[in-house]
Amino acid sequence: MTVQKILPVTCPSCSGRMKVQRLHCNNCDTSIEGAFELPVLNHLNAEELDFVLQFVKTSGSIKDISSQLGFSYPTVRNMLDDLIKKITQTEKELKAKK
Amino acid sequence: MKQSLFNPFIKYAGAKALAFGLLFIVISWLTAATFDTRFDGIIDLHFYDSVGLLQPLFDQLIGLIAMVVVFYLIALILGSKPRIIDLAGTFAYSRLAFFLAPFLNISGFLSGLSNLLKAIDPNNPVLPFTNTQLVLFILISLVSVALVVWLVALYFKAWKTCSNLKGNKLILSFIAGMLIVEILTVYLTRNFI
Repeated sequence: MTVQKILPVTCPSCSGRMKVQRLHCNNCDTSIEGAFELPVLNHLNAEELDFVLQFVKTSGSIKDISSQLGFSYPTVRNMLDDLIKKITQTEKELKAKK
Repeated sequence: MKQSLFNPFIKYAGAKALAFGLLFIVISWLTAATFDTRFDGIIDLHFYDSVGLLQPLFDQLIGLIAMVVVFYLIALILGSKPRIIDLAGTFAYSRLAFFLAPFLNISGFLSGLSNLLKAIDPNNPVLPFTNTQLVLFILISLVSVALVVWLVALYFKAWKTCSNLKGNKLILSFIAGMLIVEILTVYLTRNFI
């Protein structure tokens, strides 16, 4: 049985944003250490990421996602607006850290 | 179940909600014309001795149009861009709460009680009801209050879904919008219909 591992993007201790500290190549066993910022999309939770994937797969059609998810048009529009706000806010915070 | 009753707009909006809403409006028009009821105001329901056939229909259409126009303008002022079809659909669907309400005046019961109340002599104020009438009057009043609460809850969810406003902006804009539309519709329905 394979366990699906979810990338933790917020610290379980202080809820701060997590960074990648170590990357490893399974092919040649090379490891790199540092402090790498996660891409903006990785700061979204699983549900939000799933929504982004659906959005891309339907070529950005809110109508198509509405019928797929069984939600009304404005509900999906609101989900998208909230996501845009969250992404914009995350981008600002990441820029401010640099 | 709770979602279907108090927030159906997560699933239904736009043309589908408008179709259901217009159906509720037509049913409530027919029941209102049968039981002499008027919807003079967007959260109002008044019973009369007699109403014209088309009055309850015009009352509701004026209310719906006023709600759509006023709340659309409020949304634009606050930087939200709802679709007009969503506002019309969700507000029309909200009439679900009121479409059977005219039955409360079955056989002219409430308008009869209302006439009895009006006829009370202020110098000799005696309640002119029998005990049965009083109990029925209290029960019907409680049902009416519950229906108004349900109607306002549906209007609020409709506005929330269509505008995507949050916090104080959402609540204050809803209160302001309802007040403007209520004043407007009471004025229009009582003076022109």
